[in-house]
Amino acid sequence: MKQSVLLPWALGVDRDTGAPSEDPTSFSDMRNVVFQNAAVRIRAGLGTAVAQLSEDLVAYGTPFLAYGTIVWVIFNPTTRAVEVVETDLQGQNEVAVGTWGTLNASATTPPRFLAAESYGVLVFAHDDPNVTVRLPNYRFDPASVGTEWAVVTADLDGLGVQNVVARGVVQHLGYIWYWGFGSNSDPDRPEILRRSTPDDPTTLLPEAYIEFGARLSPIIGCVSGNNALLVFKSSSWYRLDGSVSADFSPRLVDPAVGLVSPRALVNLQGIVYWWSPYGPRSTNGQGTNNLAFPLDLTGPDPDLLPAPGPGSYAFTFYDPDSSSIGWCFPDPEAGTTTPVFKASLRADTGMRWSYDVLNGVILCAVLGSTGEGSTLIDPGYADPVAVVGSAGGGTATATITWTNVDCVGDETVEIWVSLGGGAYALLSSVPVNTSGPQVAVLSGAPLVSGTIDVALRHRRLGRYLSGYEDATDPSLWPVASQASGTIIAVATPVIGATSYDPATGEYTVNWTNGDPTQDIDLQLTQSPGGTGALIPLAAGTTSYVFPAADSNAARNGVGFIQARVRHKIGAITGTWATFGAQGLDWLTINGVLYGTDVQVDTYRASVALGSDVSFEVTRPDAVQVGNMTVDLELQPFTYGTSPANGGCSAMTLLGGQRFFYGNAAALMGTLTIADSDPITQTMPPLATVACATALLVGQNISFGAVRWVARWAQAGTLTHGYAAFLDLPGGSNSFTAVPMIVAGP
Amino acid sequence: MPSATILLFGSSSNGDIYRTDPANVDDGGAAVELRAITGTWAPNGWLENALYRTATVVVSSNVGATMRLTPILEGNRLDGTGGQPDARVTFSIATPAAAGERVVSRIPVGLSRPVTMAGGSVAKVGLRGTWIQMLVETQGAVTLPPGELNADCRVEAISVEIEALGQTQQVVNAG
Repeated sequence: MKQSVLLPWALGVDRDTGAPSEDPTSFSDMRNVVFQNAAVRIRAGLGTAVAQLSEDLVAYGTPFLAYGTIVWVIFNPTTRAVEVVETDLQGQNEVAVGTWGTLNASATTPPRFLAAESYGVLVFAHDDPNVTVRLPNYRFDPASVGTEWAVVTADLDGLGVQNVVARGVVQHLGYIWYWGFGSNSDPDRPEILRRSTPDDPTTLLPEAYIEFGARLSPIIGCVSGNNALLVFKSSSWYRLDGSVSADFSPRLVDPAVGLVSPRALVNLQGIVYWWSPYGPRSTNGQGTNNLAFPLDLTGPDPDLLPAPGPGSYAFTFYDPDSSSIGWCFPDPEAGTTTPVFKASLRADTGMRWSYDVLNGVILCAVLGSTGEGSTLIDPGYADPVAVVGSAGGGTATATITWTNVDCVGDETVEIWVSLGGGAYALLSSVPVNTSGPQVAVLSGAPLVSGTIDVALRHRRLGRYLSGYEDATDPSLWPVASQASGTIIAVATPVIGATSYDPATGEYTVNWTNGDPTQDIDLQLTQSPGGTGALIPLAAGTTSYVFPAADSNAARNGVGFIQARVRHKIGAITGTWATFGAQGLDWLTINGVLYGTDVQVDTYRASVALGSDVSFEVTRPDAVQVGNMTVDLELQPFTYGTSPANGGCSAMTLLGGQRFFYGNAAALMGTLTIADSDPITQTMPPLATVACATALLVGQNISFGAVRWVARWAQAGTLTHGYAAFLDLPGGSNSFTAVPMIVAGP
Repeated sequence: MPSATILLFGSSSNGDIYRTDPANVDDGGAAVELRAITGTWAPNGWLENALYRTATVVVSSNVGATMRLTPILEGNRLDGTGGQPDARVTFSIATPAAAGERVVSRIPVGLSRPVTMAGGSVAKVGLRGTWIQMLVETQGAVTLPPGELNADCRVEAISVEIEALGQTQQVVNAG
């Protein structure tokens, strides 16, 4: 009797069960397929290369989630150079990140790498079992402008900061965990797992480490699992429970099954899948499940399937579209194709195995995207740009103004400068400001007098707009992003020694030129006498003697003398450098009225009878050193004899009333000033008042100004007297800086 | 709707980056070929023979393809090698006329092997044996119709027409 039997299709490989009891719906070989529910479809091909990175061998790739890019580690087998580059999520638009180094001649080739991300920082590790040939850990931090690519360092043995040379890295609970490195003085500790600080993935502390298993038994790989970090060795695995440094604790889970490669494991929905030396395994964190039976890995090799390469190069990828995990086994030495053991995880029919054979030797896989944001948005550019150089003394500056065009807002603007027609150099990088025209001011070295050419370019996620990539000659960038200007930097002399002879009035000054090619102005200020005329001097002059004839006769023995010097270029003058004063300078009186019943109106302040009046006398540094005596005298004040700068407007408004203190002589005092220390004097309370009207009798006394006389003497030949007015401005009960009037010796 | 997810693969030569794409029918020029060998099937038990007459392959595809069916009888691949007769059958799935068209093909494949005499084939007889497997594979790359960006060639089903035979009959007919 004839019958037609349907062979259910697509239940995957089962090479293990054995023919007599085998489910007729299973397959001994399925290749290059994607499982549907009850059908298989041919898998998508890889097509032609979508990009070619700048070195021959693409050893490793990892998504950089914080920035939506992919970072690749590439290797030149000839030069042994290891480079790191970044592309968009489609593997295109390559941009250099940095040079990792040159692979040691004894290192395993092709090299294997790992990376882990936290806090927007990607930390890299060179997975070579030999610590002496291993490249140090590097980190890629695009936010660290100027040092995006940098080696990871730490002082792990108390002997100073050194490179960290961990074999692997993984992210768990926001920490970056480093394994396979002890310290610079004890580097070969493959059983050690180190932990970064919680808030910085590249800061390692000496005490933050855990040992797993026997010493020198290497950790092969780690993966962040369900509430635990799973730590694999070659023939065992552990879990590290805990969430903070105080409660991390390791526990051996399986003493018999380990891992072949740090990249041969993946965590999917809480289940960790990995390839052990005995085939695929899985765990929910509590034990090991054997997934290898259908593959019959110890039986005859599948028909025409290329021989798998070394387990150390095995890596895993997950294809979310087909819900499948692939374990690739490239053979970098002898392979021409790459076998893939692929497990479909479609939940409705359980795990189903098949094989893929990829053409070529494939060393890594990264999940990318063609969706929104997969192609990086180009940075904007500057248009127009203007630069204005400073002209005059002080620090040379260049003010650059530009408008940002087509910017997202997270770009960095690089400011490249050429001085005097020389080579361009990157002088500054600033965050872009899209709110309007942007201004940056360059200041100080290396800016000098002469022409300044500026070229600006924007960088976003390490990328530049087309036409701006080449930094060797920014003058070739679009002209709209360039500008030229001139800096006229007038130097400032440095003052030197001075000498003054009070007897003759000769005054000698010395200085060092800020720029010996620039002309010089010299000027003398005397008190009394005021500021003298400019004295032009030839460039290179370094000293000058003011003869006695130049000096004000009154200077000798009174007031002070002081010179200043500056450079100039034509009519553009620099900053004065002022010599220390010689002679005697003004006193400064500052003070505060302490009153308990202060009445304030628009024009005057008042102090209650019986209140103290405090003030302070300081001696400016410009005066000659040495103790001096100051006589203080509170003198009667009358409106009619008030000096012009006595601040007597309030008195006028009072209608010509005349106020005075009746016992002024009793308020006189004598103070001694030691060097430049200020002295404080408290005047006795206002006790007696004579007033022309009855209005204020028994009331608070109001006054527009009080006049004190400070008379002070320098030991020796000079004796000078000054009168000071303490002005009480309306609306305030405190003194401010007080003008002083020379009253003569 | 095509998925936005792609897998990128890094190669050991030329700095090549490859990406999966349903529009791709090859890996860097090497055709992606589906290949499946069914499990062993002994429809009449492991002591009795059966006669295998016709296989029917159901293919649903929006691309053209050349496919081949190779019977494997009691572990012997009937591909003309190793002294085995060549019972392979090649058939084609026509390329749809336009993108987006999908064709379901039911292809009956006669299962037979030639009877040779004096070096020549004089007749064909049905396949008989205790157990059988089927090797189904595509030959070369599938062919996309113009504008098609999502190659989707599916083997939906395969069935075999059998007739159970007794063990004695197997012995009589053997040789």
